[in-house]
Amino acid sequence: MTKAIVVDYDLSAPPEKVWRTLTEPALVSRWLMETDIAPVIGHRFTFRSKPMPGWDGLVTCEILACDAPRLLRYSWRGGSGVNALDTLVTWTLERTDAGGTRLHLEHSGFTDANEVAWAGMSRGWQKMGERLDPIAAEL
Amino acid sequence: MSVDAVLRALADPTRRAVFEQLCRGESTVRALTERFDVSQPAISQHLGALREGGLVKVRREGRSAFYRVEPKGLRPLVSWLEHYQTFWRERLAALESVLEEI
Repeated sequence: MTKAIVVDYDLSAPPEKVWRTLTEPALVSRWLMETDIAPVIGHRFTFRSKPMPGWDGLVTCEILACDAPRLLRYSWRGGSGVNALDTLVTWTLERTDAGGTRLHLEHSGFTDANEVAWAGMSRGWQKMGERLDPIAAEL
Repeated sequence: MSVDAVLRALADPTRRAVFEQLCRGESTVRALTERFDVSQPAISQHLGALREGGLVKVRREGRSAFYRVEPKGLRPLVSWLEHYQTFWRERLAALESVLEEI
């Protein structure tokens, strides 16, 4: 069974402007992560972030749908083994009556395995994890 | 709470030890001070940071304050779904700021 994150965000900027912040690397890097994204179907790119326990900081993506300025969809893959993520990010932009944008984000494809990632954490965290079993049981 | 905030809260070894101690049961500042070779203000500061990281909570009974672990506090570390819920909300707020600048 997969799960999704859904966020609706109202912006006063028009869809054309919001589209730029979703698709131009220099702009995307300012609010999301360093990237070489391009709004072209089939384009493969990455998002690069600081590594942390259990994750090398790299997200691997491919543009799957692209219809300016309404729809942008890309795969969002990262990690390995039990920590592997194989998800989908979909942005839909709706023009509001006031000339702004209702931005709809859906990040889907999270599996039950993604809910618990202890196994992917570094040894130090795992040791703490063992001591925290009674606490973890309440999670 | 994002993964960053949780990791920051647990970055200090003494703070981590205080957190682990609280995992064994709730405690007062005084009891924690007696257990660790650290001053009371330092313990209070650590507890403040742990509270900010969403890892501990406090309940007051009369004049005493009892600190205990917030079990859900570690969820961002263990759950990609939890992590991304917070992650996207924070990122969209940042997106809004960038829009105002261009």
